[in-house]
Amino acid sequence: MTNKVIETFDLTKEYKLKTGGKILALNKINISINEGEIFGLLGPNGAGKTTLVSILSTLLQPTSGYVEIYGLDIRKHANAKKIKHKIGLMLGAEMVYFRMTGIDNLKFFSRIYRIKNSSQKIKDITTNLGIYHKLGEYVSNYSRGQKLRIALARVLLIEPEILFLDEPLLGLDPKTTRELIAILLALNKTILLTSHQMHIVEQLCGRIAFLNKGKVIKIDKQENYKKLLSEFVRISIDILDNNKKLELKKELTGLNYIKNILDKKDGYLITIADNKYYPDLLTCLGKYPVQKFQEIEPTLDDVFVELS
Amino acid sequence: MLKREHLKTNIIQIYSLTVKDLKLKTRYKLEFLVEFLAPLLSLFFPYIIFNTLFNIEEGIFGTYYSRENFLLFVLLGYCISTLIFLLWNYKDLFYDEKTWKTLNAVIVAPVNQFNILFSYFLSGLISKSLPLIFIIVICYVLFPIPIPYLILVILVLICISITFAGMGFILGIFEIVNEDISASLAVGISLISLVSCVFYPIEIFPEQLHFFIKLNPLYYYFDLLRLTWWAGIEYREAISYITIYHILIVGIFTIITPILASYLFLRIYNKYGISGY
Repeated sequence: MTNKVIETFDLTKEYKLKTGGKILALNKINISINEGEIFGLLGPNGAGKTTLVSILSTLLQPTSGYVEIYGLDIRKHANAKKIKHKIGLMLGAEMVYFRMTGIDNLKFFSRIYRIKNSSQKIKDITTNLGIYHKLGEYVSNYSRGQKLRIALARVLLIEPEILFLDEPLLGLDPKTTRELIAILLALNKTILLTSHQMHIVEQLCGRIAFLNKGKVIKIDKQENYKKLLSEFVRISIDILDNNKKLELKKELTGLNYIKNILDKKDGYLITIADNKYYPDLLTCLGKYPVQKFQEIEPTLDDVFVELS
Repeated sequence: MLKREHLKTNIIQIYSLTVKDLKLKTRYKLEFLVEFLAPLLSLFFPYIIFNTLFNIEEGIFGTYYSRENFLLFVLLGYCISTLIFLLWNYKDLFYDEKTWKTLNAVIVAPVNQFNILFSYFLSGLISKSLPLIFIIVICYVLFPIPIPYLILVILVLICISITFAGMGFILGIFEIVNEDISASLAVGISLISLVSCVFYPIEIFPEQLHFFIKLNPLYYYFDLLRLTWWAGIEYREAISYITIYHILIVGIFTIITPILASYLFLRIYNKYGISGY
């Protein structure tokens, strides 16, 4: 039996607009996250991901509905206080003092959390994250990747049972991204992760909730998301003559079985409703200098575009 | 045992938060030095004005200000100006921490919110303690008073600090939840400060304004500070200016302001949270 660590019940957050109206940032959100699970939160900008993370981490009160973490309703001040020791929040590379050195930051947070044996832990964590040698420098002098690492070190230092990571790997080079993904996977903790980087969500998350305009559109395992698109066929088309490229797009747009056309360097990525339309499509493409025609696997990126 | 541990946690948190604030304040050493020296320049204008006025006519104000003591009151005015920093400190710090998102990191931690407010107070007081002590020593050398009077003066300065901090809590919380309100409050406080008689006696203002100035509690704090020092030198004259309102208003507002402000801080924060970033 799985242990539900986080559960939301009709969670709603409304913001008043300066123009006088209201905006629903979250609309009756019901999600649950199990112990040890890495749960992904996907959605376009303004979908409500950060608002949801802020409420779950006790930073913000919902307008209605509630959240239970370890069975405790965190709207109550006493309950929120109890779970604060158990949660770690990371909002990108922020939440550390850029005007202080790395070591001063980590010492400060270890003191307010009253972490025992903090010097050794700081050394272990920062060595593992590859920033031990930078600790004596002001964080403002760190590179983007190093800032993310020190922000992650701050969260790991407090040894939380639940991690809320908002865009934790944004703007990193592929090597660093791989290293940090390996570190996150090895943590074996309950993690709620928001990201726009589909490959990161694919590598890390078991289940994914897709949010749009404050509503949960879908919660499912990532393989089921891909099945969503299995009924569609994705085709990559490369065309030799650049002058003919626009002409081809015009013609493809006119075909009613074509669901989506995305530009790429040498041609297009198209989505068709069924492979029964292949003969018709091939007849159409025959008029153009097509170099390559290849069916491809749908990715979470495609799901993202499809759902948003 | 549990209470002792709780107390230890609070002390460690206040210490850590205070040290952190001081480190942030001293990040750029020259900036810190300028902050220290700039208010000293503000002493010149009141000094020049009083010097000129008293050269024209002695007892021009019909008050306890005179050629002999105006320098003392200008120096005490500097102490008040320095302590006003405690009020604006909350606005500035909350704004910085909000934009850096470090306020999120501190609030999401198991930190008592009173500890955050108190540490800001302490770091503000420590960062301004050097110029404050320096000026009080100068006052003491130029206008010596018996030690009990000096203790009373320090007590009034503490009352002023606590009240400024309380006002700072309110300004600070609106800096977190709604900067429009915070900006409006800041204008209001600046206006009140202008008619609080920090450097000048009430008599310098038009008589029509006296009634409004006397509605302002801060006026009584600053007047009491000057009169307490002056009582150590010219007891009879000073005591004739101290009224029951001075004692009552300073006593009541010193207690009420921080309590009410802390209550408002927690209520408003818990209801609205951080907004704007």
